[in-house]
Amino acid sequence: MRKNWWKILIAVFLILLIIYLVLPRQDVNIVTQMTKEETEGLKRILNRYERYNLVEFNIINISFNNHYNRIEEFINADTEVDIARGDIKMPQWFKENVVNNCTVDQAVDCLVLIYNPEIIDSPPETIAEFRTLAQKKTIDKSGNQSGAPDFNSKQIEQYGAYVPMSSGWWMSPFFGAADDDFLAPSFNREDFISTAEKFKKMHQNGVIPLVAQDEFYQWMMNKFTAGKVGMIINGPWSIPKLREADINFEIALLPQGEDGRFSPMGGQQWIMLSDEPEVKNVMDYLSSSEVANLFYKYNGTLMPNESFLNKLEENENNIVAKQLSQAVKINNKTDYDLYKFFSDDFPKYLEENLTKEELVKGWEEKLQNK
Amino acid sequence: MSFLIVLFSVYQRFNYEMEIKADLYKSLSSLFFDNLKEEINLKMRKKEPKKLANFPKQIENKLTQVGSMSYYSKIKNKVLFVYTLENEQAVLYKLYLPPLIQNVADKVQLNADYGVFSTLYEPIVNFNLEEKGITFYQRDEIVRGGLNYYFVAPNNNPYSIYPFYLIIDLNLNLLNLVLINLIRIFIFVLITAIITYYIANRFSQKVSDKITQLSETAYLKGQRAVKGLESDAELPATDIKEIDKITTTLRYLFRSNYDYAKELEENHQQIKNTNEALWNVLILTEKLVGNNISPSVFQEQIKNKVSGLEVNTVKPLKNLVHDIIRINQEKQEYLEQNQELIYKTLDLLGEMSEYRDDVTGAHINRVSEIAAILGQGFLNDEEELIKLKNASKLHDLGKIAIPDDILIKPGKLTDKEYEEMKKHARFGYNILSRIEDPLFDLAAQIALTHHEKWDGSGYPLGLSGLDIPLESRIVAICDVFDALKSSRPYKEPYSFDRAFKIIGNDAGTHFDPEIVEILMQNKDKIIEIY
Repeated sequence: MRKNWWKILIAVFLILLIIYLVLPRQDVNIVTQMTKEETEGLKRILNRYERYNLVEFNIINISFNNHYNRIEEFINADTEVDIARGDIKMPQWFKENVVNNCTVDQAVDCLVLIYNPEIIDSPPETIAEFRTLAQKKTIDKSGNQSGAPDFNSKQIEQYGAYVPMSSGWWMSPFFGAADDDFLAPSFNREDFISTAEKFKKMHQNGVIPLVAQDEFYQWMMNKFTAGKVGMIINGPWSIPKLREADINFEIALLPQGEDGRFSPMGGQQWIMLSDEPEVKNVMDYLSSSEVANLFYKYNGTLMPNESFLNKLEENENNIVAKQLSQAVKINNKTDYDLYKFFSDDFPKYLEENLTKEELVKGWEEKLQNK
Repeated sequence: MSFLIVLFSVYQRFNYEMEIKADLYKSLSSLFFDNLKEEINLKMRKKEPKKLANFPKQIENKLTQVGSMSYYSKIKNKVLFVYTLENEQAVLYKLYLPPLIQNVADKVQLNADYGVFSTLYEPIVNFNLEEKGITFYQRDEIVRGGLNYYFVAPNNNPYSIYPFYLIIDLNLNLLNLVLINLIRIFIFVLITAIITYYIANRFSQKVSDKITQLSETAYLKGQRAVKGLESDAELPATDIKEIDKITTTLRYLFRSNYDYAKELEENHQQIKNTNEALWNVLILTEKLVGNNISPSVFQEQIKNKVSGLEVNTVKPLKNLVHDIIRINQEKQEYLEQNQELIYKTLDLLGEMSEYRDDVTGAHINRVSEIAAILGQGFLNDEEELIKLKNASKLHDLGKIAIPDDILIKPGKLTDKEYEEMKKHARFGYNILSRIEDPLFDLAAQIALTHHEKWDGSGYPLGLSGLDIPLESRIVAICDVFDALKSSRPYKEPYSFDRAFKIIGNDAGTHFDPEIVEILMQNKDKIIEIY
């Protein structure tokens, strides 16, 4: 009888398992502009949901660039997209696609200093220290330090730091640290020029190269993971890739200037594009504390949950959380202004095609142009 | 089992090839997209864009969205449309992609079957995904379409103008793979089988030879070991652990057997020696009992026979010998006593036989003495002489059955009385023959025939010559001689000379002449008796 009891139990279990495996599952299609490494973390989180729900997720990755356009393309091509991940700066024209105005903040991010402890012994506390370290640790193939008479800027073996000077997002920590009003029309011109000049000098000294707008991110990550760059500025979304690259790295607060530390605040959100009840359930799941913890665990990203962030900052002394508490929200226009200015005017300035006055003027016009 | 091996092999091979190719195409695709971007950028630089008065309304706001980098692009009918601002001028680039893509593919030497697709999986170059069995939502790195597998590489650059998908046929048709692997496995199995068969055959032959050698050696040595003939128990090794363990046991058994056989042999020898010694003791005891050897000789010979035996055997044997000697001694004494008693009884019987006719016991003794002297001339055996001496004492025992009036009649007997008297010989025989004993047999014989005469004129049987027993012939002379020398109621004892003369005169008639001769030769001894 005992033996039979066990057999029955096993049989029931097998039947349930077969039913579980065979039962049709609802497809939920998710479009995301995560990096490949971030997507792996997302897959693990969604697998947990699939385990207990009759759902099968299909994930389509698109590039960050023009991601709202791509999502719209899917929608216009009658391709089913149930959930999309987009920047929190959702364009107005896209909002009509959002079902029931249902969005869930997936991540808030800012910029932090990421450094290689094998090159940089301790992270710079100030912008000045950052510049000094950047210069000191820039070494050519012959081993000459930047600033040395024999230093060959065309044959750099290792950069002390890299900052995408064609990206306003990445340059904002330096300008903002010097003047926290630099995004406002009342920005301090002298501070602005001073910061710009310093970068120009570093560029001219070969300390920081100018990389094209559409290449800088790849270049930066490739160089850093290859151990050729001592310090970069980047967000927590890059942590999975750094982990995968198995490189030794540490995170620190951004160096501070006279006006403290400045980091732009960005973020990503889940956007519900389908009114299926199951999709709503998934959205609820994605907004849960459990998922918040998992995203932090797998991807290092932070969901905008106050208690979660407080816990990170107080109990774990999390750098990103700390930096986030000081981050500044950037709206769409400011974001575009930053992009436009630093992708267009600033490179010209670095290449001596714009004077500093013209540079400042250009920035001023941008800020005043609402 | 073979099926599982095939499955496993296919799986292994499949995974291996997939990994190799995936790694290769990962690098290749990265190169491909970099080159494609260059190609597109180059084309855009070379090409004169179409200047627009304004961007189309639906596009205008899209150039300023986050991450747009002031571009808006889309693909339609294999043409890439790029809207952008150049020097604040709205422009449109139209780039026909297939030749650009082809150039890039040639540049990077992409030889595999490939396709480039838009975000919507619309084919820009080469194969149709639907035909390949790939669906829209299959965006994993490796996707399966039917029995084929494809590598899917999106352009990972987050700031690329337009994201493409490069899909490369991994050329990993499952069926082909299974077939190829089956063939490979088959060839491998065949070669392995041949080699294995060859090796196994050789090995098996070698093992068989070793086992045969072991078996034969073990048989021969075993046989010899059991018989205790072979102490060398070394057996050849077979290099097979289990059999060599048995061999070790066999070696031990053989050695043990040999030792046991040797011990057994020694024991047998010991037993043989002991048996022999015991047998000799028995023989010697028989001799001792039969008085063929003296106790001292017996003891001496026993000593020789038991030397070399084990102490445990010798000691009881010696004790036995002592007991035998003692018992023999006692027996001898007993026999002697017995013999003496018998002889005394015979004396008594002899005296009894002469008692009534007034003849003294001295007659019996003298007859006995003379018979002994005469007997020495014929009998060498001391025992025979003693027997003669004692048996002769009863020659007239039969007289006890003769009535007094005849026996002790002082005068001459009538014929009738004489005939009665003559019966004493038979009477004596009748009495003495009832005792089954050699002495009494002789006495009975003497009693019966001591009156027989050499010439056959005696009584009761009328025997003559050598038919008359020697002892009777002797006793006859002794009886007559002593009678001649004895006093009778009817006569006085004759002198020795006369007695010898009378006896001599009757030699050849009454008496055996040879015995008479002996008598005459021993006159002095005989005279001494008297």
